[in-house]
Parts: sequence; C-alpha cells; structure tokens
Amino acid sequence: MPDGDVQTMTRQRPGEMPRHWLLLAAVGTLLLAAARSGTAVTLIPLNGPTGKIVQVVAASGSEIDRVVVEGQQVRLAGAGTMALFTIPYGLPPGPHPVEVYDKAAALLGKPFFVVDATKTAPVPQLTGHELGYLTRHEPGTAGGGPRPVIRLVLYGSGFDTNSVVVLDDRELERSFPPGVPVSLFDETFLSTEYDRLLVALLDPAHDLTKGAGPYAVVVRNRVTGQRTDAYNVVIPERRILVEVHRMTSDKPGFSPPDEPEVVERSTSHELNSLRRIFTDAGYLLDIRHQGPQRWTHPEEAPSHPELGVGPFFSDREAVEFDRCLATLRWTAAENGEWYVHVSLLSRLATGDAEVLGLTLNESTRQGVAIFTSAIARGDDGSGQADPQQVVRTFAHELGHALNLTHCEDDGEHLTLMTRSELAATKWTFTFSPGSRTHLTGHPLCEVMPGRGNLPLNSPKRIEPWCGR
Amino acid sequence: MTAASMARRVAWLAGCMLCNTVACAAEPASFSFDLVPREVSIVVGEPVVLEGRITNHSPKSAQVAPLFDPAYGLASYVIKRRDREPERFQPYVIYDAVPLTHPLAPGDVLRGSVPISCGAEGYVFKDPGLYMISGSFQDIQAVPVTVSVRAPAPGAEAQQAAVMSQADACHFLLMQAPRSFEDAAKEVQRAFNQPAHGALWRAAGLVLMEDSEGREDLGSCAARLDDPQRALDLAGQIGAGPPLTGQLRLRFLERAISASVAANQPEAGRAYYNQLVSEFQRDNRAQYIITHSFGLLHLADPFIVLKAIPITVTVAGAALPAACSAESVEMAPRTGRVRVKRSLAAAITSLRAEVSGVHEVDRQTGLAAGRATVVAPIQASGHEPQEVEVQLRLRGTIDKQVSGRVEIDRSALPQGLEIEPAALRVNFKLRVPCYRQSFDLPLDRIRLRPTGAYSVGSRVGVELAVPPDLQELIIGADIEGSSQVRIHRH
Repeated sequence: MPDGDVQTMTRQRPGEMPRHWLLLAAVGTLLLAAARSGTAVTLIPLNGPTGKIVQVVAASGSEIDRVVVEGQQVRLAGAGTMALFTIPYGLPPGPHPVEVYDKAAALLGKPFFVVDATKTAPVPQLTGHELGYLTRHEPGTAGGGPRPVIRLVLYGSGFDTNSVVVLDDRELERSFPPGVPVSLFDETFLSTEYDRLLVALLDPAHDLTKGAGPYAVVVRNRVTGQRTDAYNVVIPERRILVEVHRMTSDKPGFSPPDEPEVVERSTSHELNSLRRIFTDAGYLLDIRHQGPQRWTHPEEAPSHPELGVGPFFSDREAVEFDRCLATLRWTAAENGEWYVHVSLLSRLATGDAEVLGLTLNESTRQGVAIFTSAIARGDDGSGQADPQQVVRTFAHELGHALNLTHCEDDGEHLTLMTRSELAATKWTFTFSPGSRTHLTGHPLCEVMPGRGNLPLNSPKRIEPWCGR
Repeated sequence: MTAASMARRVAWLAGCMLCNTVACAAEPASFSFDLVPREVSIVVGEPVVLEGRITNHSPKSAQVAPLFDPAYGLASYVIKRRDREPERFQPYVIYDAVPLTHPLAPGDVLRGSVPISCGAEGYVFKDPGLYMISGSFQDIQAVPVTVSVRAPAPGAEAQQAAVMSQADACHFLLMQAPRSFEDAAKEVQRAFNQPAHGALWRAAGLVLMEDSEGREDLGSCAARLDDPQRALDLAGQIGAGPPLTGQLRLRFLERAISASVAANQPEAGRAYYNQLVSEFQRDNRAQYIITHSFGLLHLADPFIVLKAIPITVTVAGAALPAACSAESVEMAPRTGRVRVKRSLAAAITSLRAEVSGVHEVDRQTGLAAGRATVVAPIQASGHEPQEVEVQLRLRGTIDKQVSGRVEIDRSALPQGLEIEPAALRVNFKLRVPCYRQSFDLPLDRIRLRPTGAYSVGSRVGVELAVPPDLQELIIGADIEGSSQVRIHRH
C-alpha cells in the first residue's frame, strides 16, 4: 500500500448487507442517474477512498472550469476537457454527486463518485528533485514564439491536487502548456503508481536563473495545511543542449524506443531520469528531440532476412548517422555553448562485441550514439529496450562527452561510468565521487565538449581518482 | 531474463576482465599477448597494421574476447618515437560494448587487428623515423615492436602523405567516408587520381567505388565510374596491393563483388565472395555484408545464390542396388556447406553432390522457383567402392512456398549405371520462412545400379522439376545459426 494510503476498514456485522452489494447498488444507481441525465461527463475511476485523485473528462468537448463535490468546490489540476481533482477527506462512505461546470457556468454533468473507504490525509514528504531546461511554445501569448523555462519536478509522497509548491515563502502556481491534454502529464504531474511527482514550470526570466539558489522549497497542502520539510534546490549554472536524433525504421525486428520520453524518464518504478541524474551532478539538461526519421522504403527490408542476423546498423542508418555528423560539424557552436549530439540507432555488432553506445573522441566529444536494439537484445525476450538500460547508457555516453572515463579504480563499481558492470542491473544511477569532482571541479577545457577542448583520455587530463 | 541473456552477461563479465577469467582458469602468467606487425616498414601516410595475439599457455580453456582495438578500452597502446616522450594512443571512437567471448583452448591463439594508425587527433605516424609500439591487453604486456616509417618520395607518395596527415582525411577513411568530411573527401579523391600505389590510394579507391550520395546503392560503382570494367580492374589492383584490414577490407570486398556484378563477370564476383566468406566468418558485420551482397547479387546477376553446397552421399555395401536411406544431413553454419550422409547397398562408397546454384530470383520475393538439375560426374569405374561427384543445379523462381518433385532424366545416365526406380518421383515442397532457410533435397529415393563397367568422367543427370503443386523442399542457408537440414521421405 502506498505511503499515506491508509484505509479505514470496517467489518461486516451480522444482518448487514455485504459491502460489495452496497457498492454494486451504488454504482447501479450512479449509472442509472447518468443514463437519465444523459451526462457528457465521465469520472475515472467511479469509486475509491477519500483522497483519491480522480480524472474528470468532458466527452462533449466542452472545457471544464469548475467541479463541485457535495457542494464544495475542489481544486482542479489541468485544463480543457480533462482535469484532475482530489476526493475530499471528510466525505463519508457512499455515493456523492460531482457537479461539473463549464466556463459559462453551465452544468456539463453530475455523475456520482462512490466513496468506499475513508482515509486520513498523509503527511507530504519530499525525497528528490530534477530540473530541466525546456522550450515552451506559446504562440498565443504576447511576444509569441518559444520561451525558455526551467521545469522543477519534485519527487516525494503524499501529494495530491491540493498540493502547492512554496519557493522561498512564495507560493507557485502549477501551470500547463495551453492546449496540451492533461493526460499527457498525469504521470509526470501526479502518479498513484509510485513515488508521486509534482511539477512546477518556472520561468527563468522571472523566477529562476542558471546558477541561482539555493531556494528553500516546501510542498504544502492547501486543504489539510500539512507541509513538507524545507528542501534546498540549486539551479545549476551549466546547461547542456542535448539534441537527440532518433533514427527509426520499418525494418522487421527494428525496435527503437517508441516514445521519446523513454530516454528522458524511466517508466518503471525506479525514478531514474536523465534530468535527475544530471541535476544531481550539477548540470541542467536541455533535451531536444529531432525526428523520428522513419523510413518506409520497401527496399529497407533486408532482401534476404533469413540470411541476416537481425536488425543492424543499416546502410541507410549509416547515411543518417553521417548526416548527423555533418550536422554536428556545421551546427556545433564554439561560442561557449555546451552541446552534445546524440544519435539513437539500432545496432552495431562488430563480430566480437555488441556495441551499446559510442562516443566520437575527437577533440569535440560532441557526438555520441546509442544502439537501442543492442541494448534490448535478449534481455527480457521482448526485444524491447529496457528504459532503465537506455537511460543508463545515455547517461554513460553523456558522461564520456563530458570527458569522464571508465573510472573503475575509485571503488564505485555500480556507478554510471563503470564499464565492467555495463550489463548489470543494480546501478546506482549516480556518478561516483571522483566523476563528480571532475564534472564540477576541473578546468572547463577538460570537461566542456567542443573543438579545442581536451579529448577523452587525454594524458593532459588530470585524473586523480583513477590513479592513472 | 532469458538463459541466453544470462549467458551473454556472464560472458561479458568474463570477457571484460580477462584477468578474472584467467584467474579462474589459471594464473595470468599463463597467457601472453603479442603484437605482430604485418609490415615493419611503411611510408608516411600508410596505415600501420598490427595483429594482436593472445595465447593460452595454461592447461585449461578460457573464454576470451579478443578486443585488441583500443576503442573498446580493454587494450591500450603506447607509441614512442625516438627522442620523444611516449604517447598513449587515443582512439577516435570509444565503444561501450558487451564483448562476445570465444573459447581459447590450451595452446591456442586468438587473433585480432590493432588499428592504431588513426586516433583522436588524426594520423599518428606523420614523421619519418622509428616508432616503438608497446601494448597491453587486460594488464598483459606485449613485447614492444618497432615499425620504421620512411619519408615519402616526391610526387604521388608525398601527396598521399600530405593528404593522409590531415586529421579529417584520416577520420574520413576511418569512419568509412561519411559525407560530413566533404573537404577531406575532395582531398582524398584528388590524391586518388594520381598514379600512386600506396594505402591511401587503395582506400580512396574504395571511397570512389561508392555512390557519391552515400551507401544506399552499393551497386552504383559502375554508374559512378561510367566504366564497369574499370571498376573491376580497380578492385583487382586494390586487392593485389598490400592487404587492407578491418572495415576497409570488408568494404573493399563488398565493392569488388558489386564491381564484378556490374561488369558482368560472375566468376570474379564469386571469387571475391569466397574471400569475404573465408576471411570474415566470425564477423557478424561481415555476415551482414554477406547478406547484403546476397541481396545485391540477386538483383544483379544470379550466379552465386546457392554457393557450392557439397553434399556427400555415402554408399555402403558390395552390390547395387538397394534402397538408399538418408541418415543425416549437416549444414555448416555460415558457409552454407551441406553434408548429407546416406547409405546405399552399392559398390559406390560415396556420392558427393555440389549445389552450384544457378538460381533465378524474383525481385519481389527474393526467391525463385523452377528447375534444378543434379549432375553426377562419375570419378571412378568398376564395382569397387568409389566416390561419385554429383552436382546439383537449381534454376528458376522460388516463391515463399511452392511444391515440386524430383524426376530423373534417364537419358543423362552414363553407360554402365542405372537408376532405380525407372520412374522416380519424389515430391517436395519449397517453403521459405522469415529469417530461416534450410536445404532439403529428397534424394533418398535415388538408387544407382551398375549394369556394367562405367568410366571415369561419366555424369549422372537428375532433373528436378518444380511444379507448383507438390510438397516440400526447404532451400536456403542460414549463415548465422546452426541450422539443420532434414531429408523427408514422402
């Protein structure tokens, strides 16, 4: 049971109607009411304990503006035709009407939510955070065009839609990009499956800037008044532009990650994301996805797959990789920008090794490639890349781009740059202390990618932790 | 986790730390690592080709990943030129890879290439003089070797050296000519146009044999050069020079096959193809290229699809005839060689058939159906145990699933031999599932009866007609797996 998800269980007494009969009756009543009113509003789910985060969807396409539960307006997360709200903690078991209104105060529907157990409000706790540099497109806003924002994601428990972020005693409003369905954000915004996440999009022009902080962050529940302990957030000064080029194919057996997010954020129960890893190491990632570049040419399929050995770094991919290198050559700025060009490819087997990733070790260190089909091969039989392994490989290659070597002599054998545990499963998803020393403490030319800086493994490079 | 996955991980852990592997099997001193230069004297601009060798001196077998390329991080090399400080070689590419280990029996040697000519900062051997190269693989030190680099002669050699000494030209060739190195490509092409015969010239030749727009059509060398014969001649010259290694060697052979196809010289293509197979049997990358070459050849000229699949038919007994019965059929992985063992109560001890595979291929399906012919040249005479060479030739278009039957062309029988039954009909069906093909010939009904003395050089002809209504014949060669070929009695 998740933290804070304490149900008040009641035993059935002799002569009482069985509990699930009551639920069935309530749901039946609810469905009957819905059928009579012809409501265009759906609740997901229809029943649950108090404190449950419920999604409300206006099927008619109307925009949801206000939700009232038993006469009490609840705070919404999200906008448009879908929103999230929290079932108030004080409600008794049984069906409760949920009135949903649009912006014109017209009643869109009045479905019922059945409270089947009462919970006490959990104490919210903060366990971690990540920062990301995003480009937010708001064409409708004044000034128009993309606007950079720093997104703060807070990891913890006991959050719900009444939770607010307080930064240096100033309460921040959650916000969502206009026009983006809230369902795209529900995992990021709030999750009931694992440690809950709370997202704050912060505008660096007004709120946060690179290198600023520390800020004291607290998450407070507006309804219960409970709050987390203060948590310090420092905005890293170094921002790396990570341009990800996904090269996918219709070739049989080719299975790159379907979702761009897989390289950014784990979908498993372990919350390891690229942004979190690099926030922890003192860097702000600006991940931009290019593509996917999908080929549909019939000749892409191997003419004789029976003679082949599965998906490979195809010629067409090689061409695309070349294009990436060309792009790298022509667009890599030597103006102080931290830039890494990432190619997601399928597979490069050399006969004696299965290559998971590579880094071009010219003085730029700006080109890396990740071979997702190689990462996926045989690990669970599904042929799909394990997001954790993709994240791990991605972070590992970015580490090379920042001139980290396979420092295995520092005693941290499960950290991100370890090579001998490349295929292991219990990584820490952190850089070793020695690697951290390099990332934030060594001269810029030894760390920063870009022409003129030191190549990987350079003998000029100081590697005190490696003993080499 | 699957068993294969687990095995792979175990292999990785074992292979990554050879010393750990060695420690499990024997003391580390039981292994030696040696560097062997192919050529001890080169000209500035040419690659230094080293071969790494790991030898197991212990009494136990070990699993070893022969990754001597410093890009994998398991081996490192230090290059010292006289009167200068030694410098650790910095590879241009850093691979993070799961090694695939190979068994190394006591006394055996595993070999691998050591590409150290082009590093992170370009070509390494820019200055004439003696270079001492020392290396270590998994903490096993090799005895240093010395390579002499001489100054280029004025003219073409000097131009090669000048071009190759540029970092971009070096990386351009190392990375197999990506278009991002446009300027380098032009330089290399200019150098190529000179009548030089060095390594750069050969490498540049490979580049020029490609389509300028990339590698999308490997057969475009003819169009690129507007002269297929010249492309083939070029391939011959390149092949005759000092050996190319690694990826360049692969690319060369691949393009040489293309050039042969374009020049309508299938025998030359077959020779290059055989080289490709024999030299890179362990190399998955080569398998891919072989696969690609198959496709290419299919589209171009069908001369090599079912390359030389020898079938050995063992015939036992003192008298003919008796019903032959198939015992087993083996196919060697990768080479596609098929060995069929069968027994015949006959004077002939063995019957070896070779599928030379003239095979017309449907462009849509990549497969073909049609006619096949078994030709068996008789190599001996009399009733003593003898070996008979049989050649199977398969023609036509094979769809994904067609049927056929074997019928004997009795008119092709040599004098002194008879085949039973007189009207042989063996039904079969051709089926080509994805990623897996095997070869299945219903030869088990064939009986040979000597009716008198028969002579050396006679040929037995058996024609396989493949009408679309019969049963099963599975044709193909899985070059990766351990596919088995079965004979069915229908």
